[in-house]
Amino acid sequence: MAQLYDRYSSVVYAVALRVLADAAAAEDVLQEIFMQLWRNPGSFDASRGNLAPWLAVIARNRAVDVLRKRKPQTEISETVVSVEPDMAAEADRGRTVEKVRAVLKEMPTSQRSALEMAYFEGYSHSEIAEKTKEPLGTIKTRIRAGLMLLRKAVEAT
Amino acid sequence: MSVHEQFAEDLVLYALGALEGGERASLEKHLDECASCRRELEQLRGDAALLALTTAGPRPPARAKSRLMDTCSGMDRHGGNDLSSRHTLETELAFEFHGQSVVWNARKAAGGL
Repeated sequence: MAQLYDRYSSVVYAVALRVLADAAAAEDVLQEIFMQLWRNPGSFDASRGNLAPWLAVIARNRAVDVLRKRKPQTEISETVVSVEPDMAAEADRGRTVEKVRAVLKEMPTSQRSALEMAYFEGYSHSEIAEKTKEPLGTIKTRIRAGLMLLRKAVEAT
Repeated sequence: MSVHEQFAEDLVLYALGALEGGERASLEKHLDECASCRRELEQLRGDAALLALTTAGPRPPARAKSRLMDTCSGMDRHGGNDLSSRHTLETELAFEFHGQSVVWNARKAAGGL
C-alpha cells in the first residue's frame, strides 16, 4: 500500500484539489480512495486499463460528489475506464499528458471551458447552458467535439 | 466503433457526469441493452481521464500518508486471503516498477504459474 500510495497519491490529490479547491477536503478524498483500495483491492481490474487513469476518474467522481454534497453515485468497482495508449510507465503517461495539455491550450476557450465546467466543476449540460447563456445543443456539441479532440491527440501517440 | 448516433452526444455527457433527468434515464435504459454503447462509454471515460490527468498541483501533505497507514493497519481487509483479487493491484505495480519478470515471480509465488 505504501508503494501504491507513493506512486499515485499525487494524481488522486491533484484531481481532488482541482475539483474541490480545498486542501483538507481533497485530503479526505485521498484517504477515502486509498482506504477503499486497501479494503477491497479487487475493485481495480488491471486487465481493463491502467491504474493512473482509473484512479484519476475515481478521484474526480468522488470529489464532485463531495462538492455536490451527495452520496457516492457509483461504486468504484463498477467504474471501467478504457484508455488506448499504454500509460503504465510514468514516462508514457507524461508524454500523453503533455499532448493533451497542448490540445487543451489550442482549444477555443468556450470549448475548453464547457469541458472543464462539466468535468471539474460537476455542472450538468443544462446548468452549463444556463451559465453560459448558450443553447443546450451548442453545449452538447461543444463538449463532444472537445473530448474527441483529446481522443485524437492520444490516438496519434 | 459502432455507436448509436442518436446517443452519441448523450454518451459523452454521461461519461462526464453531466447528463441528467429524462435523457439520463433514457440513455441508461439503452446502455442496459447495447454492448457497443457500453464499450464506447468506457472509452469516453478514458478520454475524460486524460483531462483529469492534466491536473497538476502540490503533493499531498506528508501527514496524509501516515494517517492512511495508521488507519489501514487497524482495518480488516476484504479478500485479504484472496490472492487472485490482490493481483489486480499488485500486478499493476509490478509492471510499473520492474517489468514482466517480477509479475511472473509474483504469480509463481501465489501459485498462479
